[in-house]
Amino acid sequence: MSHAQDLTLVQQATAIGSGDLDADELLTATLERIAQRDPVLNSTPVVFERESRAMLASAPRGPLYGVPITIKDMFALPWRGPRSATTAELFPAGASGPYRRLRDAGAVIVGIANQHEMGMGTTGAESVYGAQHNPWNLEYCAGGSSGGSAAAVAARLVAGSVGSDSGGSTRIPAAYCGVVGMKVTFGSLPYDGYFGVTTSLSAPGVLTRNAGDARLLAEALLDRALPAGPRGALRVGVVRDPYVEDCDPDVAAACEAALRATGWELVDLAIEHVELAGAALLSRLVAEVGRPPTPVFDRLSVTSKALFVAGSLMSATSVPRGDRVRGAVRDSVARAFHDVDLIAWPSSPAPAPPLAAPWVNLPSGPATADMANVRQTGLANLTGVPGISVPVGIHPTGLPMGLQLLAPWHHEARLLDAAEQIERATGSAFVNLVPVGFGS
Amino acid sequence: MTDFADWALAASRYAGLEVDGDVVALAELIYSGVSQQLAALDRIDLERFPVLPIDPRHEPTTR
Repeated sequence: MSHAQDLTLVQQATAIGSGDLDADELLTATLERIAQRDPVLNSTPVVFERESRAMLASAPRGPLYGVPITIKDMFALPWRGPRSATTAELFPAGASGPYRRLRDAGAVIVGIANQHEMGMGTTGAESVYGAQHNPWNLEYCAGGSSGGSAAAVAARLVAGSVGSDSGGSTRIPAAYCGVVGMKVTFGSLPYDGYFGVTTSLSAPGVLTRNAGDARLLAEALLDRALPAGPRGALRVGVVRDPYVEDCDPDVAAACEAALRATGWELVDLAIEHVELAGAALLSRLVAEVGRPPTPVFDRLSVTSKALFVAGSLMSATSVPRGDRVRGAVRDSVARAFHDVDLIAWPSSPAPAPPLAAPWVNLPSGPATADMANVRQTGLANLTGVPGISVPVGIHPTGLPMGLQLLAPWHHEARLLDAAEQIERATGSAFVNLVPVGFGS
Repeated sequence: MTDFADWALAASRYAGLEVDGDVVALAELIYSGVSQQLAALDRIDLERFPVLPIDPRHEPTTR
C-alpha cells in the first residue's frame, strides 16, 4: 500500500478536499516518514509536531488545506525566528510575509528545511545541523542553499517546500536532486520576516515534484492565480557560450534533448554584456551579505568565516560599477524577451559533486561547484526575472540533471506551462523517478 | 605572515571577531579569486554603461 507522501502536492490537496484523505492522518504519516527517512538525509532537522497540529486545527479551507510542507530556515514563524542554519535566531519570531501566505492557503508547516549556512553556498555541505545529503547518492551534495528542501521533496518526506534564491539557491538544489524548483520574480510577495529582506537579489522559491505542484504552491505564495495558457509552440533562446558549451557534455545533451522533444522553435541568442553579469552579481552578493552577531559568527564554519572576512575587505567601488553593468544587462534581457518567450540553458553545468570534494570538471577546467553553479543561475537574480529548473535526465553517474528556463518579470505562469510541456514531451519520465530506497 | 594576513587579522580584531590562521588563509584565497573576477568591472567603459535606475521587481523602462 502506498504512503500518503507518495502522492503529489496536488493529489494530496485534492484528496483532502474530496474527503478521500484525512488531513490529521496525513500529518501523522508525514511526521512518521520524516522520522523514518531523514536520519540519512538531514533535510529536515527541526520538526514542529505540536505547532503543525495547531496550524492544522486552525487552518482555513484554502487551496493547500491540510497539506504538509517544510520551509527554509530563512523565514520567521510565529514560534521561531530564522537562523539560516546557524546557532541562533537572526530575526525575531513572527508571522513573516511568506508564512502568512502559506497559513492563509491552509498549508501546514511541519518542519524547517536544512540549508547551506547563511545561504552562502550551493552545495548544502555546511550547516549547523550538518550537511544535507542527496537522496540519489548519500555521499553527494543535495545542493544549496535550499538543499534540505530539495532532498526532502525528492525523498518524498513532503511534496512541497519553500526555499529561497539569491544566486540560484532554489534552482541548483532542484537540479541536483531531480525535482522542480522555481524562483519567483524579485519582490513579488511581502518580504517582512524574510532573511533576504534587505538584498536586491533574493526571492523565495518553491520546490516540488512536478510543475503542477509548483503551480499550486507558487499560487499560494504569490496570492494570485497562475493560470495555464494555451499549449502553443514557444520560441526559446539558448545562450550557448558559456552556458551550454562549458557544461558537462551529458548535461548539455540532456537539456538539448528535452528542448528538442517539445517541438519548440530554438534559436541561438546573444545577450549583450552578459559576459559581465557574473562580476556584477558578485559585487552585489559580496556587498549585500550581512555579518551575523559575533556569538553566531564565532560558531560558523571556517568557510563561512573566511567568506565574511574576505567580503569585509573588498573595495566597495565595485558596487557602483557593477550596478552600471546590472542596468545594462537588465535592458539586454528585456530586449531579448521581445524576441523570445523563454531563455534556456542547463541549471547546473554538472551533476552534484561529492560532499567531500565539491568541485566540478568542465570543458574549461576544474572549478568550485559554487562558482560554476552561480554562473549558470545568477542572471535571474541580477535582473529580477523568475526562473525554473526542470528535471531532464539522469547522468551516467546516477545523479539528476536539470534544465533552467527564464521568463520575463512576473511571467511565472509561462515558466510553469513550459515545464509542464517538457514533462508531457518526456512522458514525465524524469519527474516520476524516485531515488533508490525512497520509493513506496 | 603575509600582508593580507596582517590586514585581515587587524580588521577582524577591530570588528571584534576572533579568527584563526585557517580562516585567514582561506579568506586570502577567496579575496584573490573574487578580486580577479571583479577586476572586469574596473575595465568597463563608463560611457557605454551609464547609470540606470534599477528596480529588480519590474522590467526596465529605459530601453
